[in-house]
Amino acid sequence: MGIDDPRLLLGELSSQLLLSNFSDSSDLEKLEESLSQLQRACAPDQWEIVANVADAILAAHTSEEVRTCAEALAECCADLERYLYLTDTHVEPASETDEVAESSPASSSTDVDAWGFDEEDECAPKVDDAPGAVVSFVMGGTGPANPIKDDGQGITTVSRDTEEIENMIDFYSEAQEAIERNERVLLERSSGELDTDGIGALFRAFHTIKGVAGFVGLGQPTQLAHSTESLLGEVRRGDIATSHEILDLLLESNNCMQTLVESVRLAIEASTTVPFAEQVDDLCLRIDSAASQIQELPPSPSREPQSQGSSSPPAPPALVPVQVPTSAADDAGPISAGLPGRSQGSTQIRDTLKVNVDRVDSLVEMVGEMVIVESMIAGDEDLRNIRSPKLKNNVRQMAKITRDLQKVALQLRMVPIRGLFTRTARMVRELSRQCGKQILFSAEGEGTEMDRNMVEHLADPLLHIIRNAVDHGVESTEERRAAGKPYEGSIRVSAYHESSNLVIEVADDGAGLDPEELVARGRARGLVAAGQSLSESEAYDLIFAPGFSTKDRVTDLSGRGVGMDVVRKNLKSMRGRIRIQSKPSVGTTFRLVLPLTLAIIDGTLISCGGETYILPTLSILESIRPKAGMVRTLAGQAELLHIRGKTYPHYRLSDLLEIPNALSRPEEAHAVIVESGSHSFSLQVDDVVSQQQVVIKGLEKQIRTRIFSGAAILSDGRIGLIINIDEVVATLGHEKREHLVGVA
Amino acid sequence: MSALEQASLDVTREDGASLAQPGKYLLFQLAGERYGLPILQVREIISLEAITRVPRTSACVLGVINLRGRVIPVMDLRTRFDLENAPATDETVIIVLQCELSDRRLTIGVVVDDVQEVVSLRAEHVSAPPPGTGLEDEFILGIGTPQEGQIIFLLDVDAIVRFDEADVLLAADRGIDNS
Repeated sequence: MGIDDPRLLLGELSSQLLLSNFSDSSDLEKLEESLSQLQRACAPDQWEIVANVADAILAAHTSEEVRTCAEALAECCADLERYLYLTDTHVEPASETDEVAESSPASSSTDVDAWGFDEEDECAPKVDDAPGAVVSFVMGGTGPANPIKDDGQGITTVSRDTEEIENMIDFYSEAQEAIERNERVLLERSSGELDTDGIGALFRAFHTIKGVAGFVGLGQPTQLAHSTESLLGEVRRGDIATSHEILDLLLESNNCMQTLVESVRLAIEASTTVPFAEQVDDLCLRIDSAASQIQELPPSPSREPQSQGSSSPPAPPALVPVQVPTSAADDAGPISAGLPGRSQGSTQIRDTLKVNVDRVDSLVEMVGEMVIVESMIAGDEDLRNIRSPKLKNNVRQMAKITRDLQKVALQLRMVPIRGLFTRTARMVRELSRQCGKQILFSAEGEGTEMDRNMVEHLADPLLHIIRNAVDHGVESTEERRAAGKPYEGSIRVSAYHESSNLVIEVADDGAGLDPEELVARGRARGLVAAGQSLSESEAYDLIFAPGFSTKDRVTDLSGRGVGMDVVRKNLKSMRGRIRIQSKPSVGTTFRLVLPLTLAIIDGTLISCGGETYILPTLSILESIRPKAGMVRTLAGQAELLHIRGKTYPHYRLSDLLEIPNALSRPEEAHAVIVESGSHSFSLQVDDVVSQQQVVIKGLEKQIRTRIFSGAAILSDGRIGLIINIDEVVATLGHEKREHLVGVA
Repeated sequence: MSALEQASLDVTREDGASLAQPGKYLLFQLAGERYGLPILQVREIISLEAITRVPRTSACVLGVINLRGRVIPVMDLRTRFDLENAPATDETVIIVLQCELSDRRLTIGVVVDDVQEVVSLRAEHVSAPPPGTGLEDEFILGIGTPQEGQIIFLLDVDAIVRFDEADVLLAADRGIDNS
């Protein structure tokens, strides 16, 4: 992808056109600059078209009729674009130039189709040749065709050169971004209709995908993007209201594009050709027919834009949409966030840099090391004895910079939760349709940032929670009517930071959980022993048990009793916890509390027999100094801690970790009350030393113990092992718990 | 070396591990015997420093050390070989090994009595372990005889670090991602 590739330059020019407001002379200068670059990059036989563009820009300089010029410009660009892509498909350039030049003034969408599907024709025979097999469609390619090897099993492997792979990867990330943006736009407007801004945003996004896909020679994404773009163009040209059918079609197209892009990624990774997706042709046909239907509609006069400046061009049939930014665009709502729009100015077009994740990870890790070494130096005895104000000052300076650096390094990995919520919104939409329920979805705190490594771990738990909320939580419309609730159910997700944790809440306004029914079901499944009584939160926790289901019948969505098990497992692996709050007929709220990042936790350093260990501060409820008589021994074996009317099982860390010389009398030691899942217990340690943030290091699998979830390097360079609270109970509590049943 | 022995060099052991190859080996001493580790798998040799004990793990794991910011496990080779314990001396060192396991790269330290030298073993100096030697041979890929009368046991690093696979897998399944 050379710097003077005409297609890239053209892309740049197109986007400048989109952003340009033609009355500003500096914009026009920029355009001219791009144009002359383009001209230099083009072959002599392409100059004619470039010259047309130049003329148009010149006209814009002098003309009062800004918009007419903009249209002309856009048209010229479209011509050029067509031309450039045509030369790529090895069509005789000379004759084509004439044709394009001739058709340029009145180029209609049929013309566009003609060139668009020329490419398709080329690959079509391949499809017919090998029905059922994995078909390659290396087409419209950049340069020489790829060597294709068939291993005789229907899987074609392709050897790609590195440049091509890079281009493909570029395509993947660009398309991915565009798809996510589209999804946001579409879902936000799913209740109402798309406005001009929304259409424009979608148009640009599909246009981008088309451009990049065409560049790397991916036929199906190009085709789909092209059809969708045409449809959007028609919608805008006709200035008609977007019906639900069109919205659904657009959503479907976006989802299909997602699938295609995903298959490209898989193909890159496996070095195979991109498989041929059957559904694309059909979808394109439907999109095209929808577009032609719109074409036949008369433009509705009722939907004249509000302000005079913003009246959209009557008919830009060009490939490059022209959007004249106006005051209306300046008022654009949150939807234009993240879209290239002049209105959002500096906040939007911010320079970003794509960096390999591994590099960021190792940077974060090294910064973590530096923080430790820094504190080792700052705390050094010998250094402290040196009486030098200069040295002290420098050390302080270093401490400050190190802290700042750590902060920045950690931010590198943080991404807003928005993407996850967008997925959730789509899920609610799809699931509620499947269940035939009307559900209003709302999201809050989409800008809340979280460690990007956590996003994927969170996707599954959220999916299961949402499924449960839609299927079991929110009642059917009839039931809601009978209960006097609004017939539309509501699911609200929200995210926010609380101290150094990330909190995500999923709340529905459904029927709520019935603790008694849960316990009864638990009994039937043998999860609750006969005669055992559970607290409300313990009863709620039953839904996390593997195989536990609150429904007798298994639906498509849920009821198999696997989902919530996954939720708890994933949360545990992220050192997070989940709480359920529920009120009958008011609703259920799932509250997920997670550390802000997976790499660092708030640790509480405790000592026991001269050794230092770390407890995750998140699991500590309180730490106390037991008074005489607080710890009671039961039947000579199990110990209990009684405080403020509550009783906790009392374990000794020295037993768990085989520490011989720990303090034995509880009155001399400390008791840390920790929480693991639904139950809490007390852990006796010698002393609670301090609290600090620690960088978690994984332990090699060769250390086969579950008691520790990781290790951290302490400020003196020693290693502190991080105790896995959940396994304390599993390891120590098992035999002791038997005694406690019936007491607790 | 007989023709038969020479031929056996190219075959694999019953468990699929390939036999010792000629090349450079780091020699160390353990309970009076000399062992060799393929030099390519030796990352560095460090002095015996403070090892943080890890309770409730395999007996042969002494604990973990801080190797320039990385937490790596340290294994006691005497325990691993069922030899009796001996107090550390000034010569006791940790050899840091790097192994490519099927799914990941493992860095692990092993405590040995003494490191000696690096020797180059030519093909005629390497032979297959004689059958029927008993317990030890599960760790041994071959026998090196650089000189008449010298015997070096050439170790299978992968077999040494792969203690009790089933448990390891279980821990991996339940534990956090360690990568």
